[in-house]
Amino acid sequence: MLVVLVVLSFLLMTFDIRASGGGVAGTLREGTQAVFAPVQEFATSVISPVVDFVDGLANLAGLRDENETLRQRIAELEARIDEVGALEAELETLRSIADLTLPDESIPIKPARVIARGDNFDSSFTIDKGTRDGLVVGNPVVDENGALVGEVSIVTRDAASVVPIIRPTGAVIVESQTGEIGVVLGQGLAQLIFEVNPATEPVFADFLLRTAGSAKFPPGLPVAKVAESASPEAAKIRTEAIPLADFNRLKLVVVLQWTFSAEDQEEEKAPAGETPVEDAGAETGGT
Amino acid sequence: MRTRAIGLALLAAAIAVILQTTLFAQVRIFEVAPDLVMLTVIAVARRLDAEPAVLLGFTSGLAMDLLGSSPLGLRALVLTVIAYATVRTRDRFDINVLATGMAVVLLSLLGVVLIVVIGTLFGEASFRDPNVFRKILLIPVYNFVLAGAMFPLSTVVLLGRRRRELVL
Repeated sequence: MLVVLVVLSFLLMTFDIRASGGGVAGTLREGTQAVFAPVQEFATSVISPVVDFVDGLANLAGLRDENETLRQRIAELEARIDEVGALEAELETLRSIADLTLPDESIPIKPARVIARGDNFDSSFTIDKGTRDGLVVGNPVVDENGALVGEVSIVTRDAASVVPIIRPTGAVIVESQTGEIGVVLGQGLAQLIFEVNPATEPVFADFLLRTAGSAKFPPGLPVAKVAESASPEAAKIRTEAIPLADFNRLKLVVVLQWTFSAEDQEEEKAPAGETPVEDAGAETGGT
Repeated sequence: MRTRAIGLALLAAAIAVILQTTLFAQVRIFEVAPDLVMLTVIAVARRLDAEPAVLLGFTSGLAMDLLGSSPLGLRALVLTVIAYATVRTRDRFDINVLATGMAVVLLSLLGVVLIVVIGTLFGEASFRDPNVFRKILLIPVYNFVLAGAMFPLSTVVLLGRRRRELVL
């Protein structure tokens, strides 16, 4: 039995990687998510206020010397303040989303709440919007400030899985402030690698990297900032970049209801007459 | 009785999966959460026969894989191995509380290291995570703490009230 299950596990991993998350594995994931998403959403709605309350109590450690009555009173008030603070923070995020200005304002947006996450070694997360809200696989996802977070990888009726750009298999074609086209590669953590090849211009720390427009993401979305200055070596630049989105604190995100179409590509080509982005099809948000 | 225990074990695993992806998505101490699913597999595998135990490990891991984006089968493989290791060693670590606690720490450590190593082999790049060693060290510690509640509970639930004396 053990051997059978171990071999089956290895086969699943191999097939899943070869299918890049699609195929039977993708169908299985959709089915599982359809079953678990409503339960996860309910659990989150129950757990969140409790966690906020406990957080509030935990913040009162410094008041232990005061008398018990006063401590309890303060605890209650602090808990309320924390609740209000959490609500204010959420309101602020919603305001940011309402004021969100995208490079292409014609793209419809759909705010969504993060209802579940992977474990310690999985940075993907689940949101509470699905096909019922018009989401499709491949829709880009940004945070409340418009910074690129990732893309929708699996959609069910009521929920969707988002694969973040920090995944090790993630790659986003970007344009630096020098105008050169490069690629940002995920590292599986809150750090990215920025590569330009061929490169002619140096890049400097804090240079903003935006999506260059490709089959995966519309152009102009802020992605990351260059962490370390670098000059071309053998016509190539490879340096670190810091993503603009804070992946540990995402509670609300915005789904851009955008998918690549050949017409978009033609429009991009026609006015500027510039060389199209190479390897656009190779860009991926990961499995 | 056996069917009832397997059913309860599956229910416990499902609850653990839901809590892992919701509660422990928010509750992270030093940016690390306990691995409740792994702990549940260890706790339950102590009280099941070998085959149901490894099947439970596989099923629990597969559920986590299906809800996440890492390679399908990664956690299924790891939790299958952990369930098997638990079944093989349970006679030795069921001696006293200290031995049980040490077993939880060692099995959790084995599980986390397997996730990191096999994940890396399958393109997950877990070793590049600057927090990887913190996770490897803290997850077994958190599981050890949670085991204090989980083990007696799983024993009572799976073996029934008659076996309360075996809570440890």
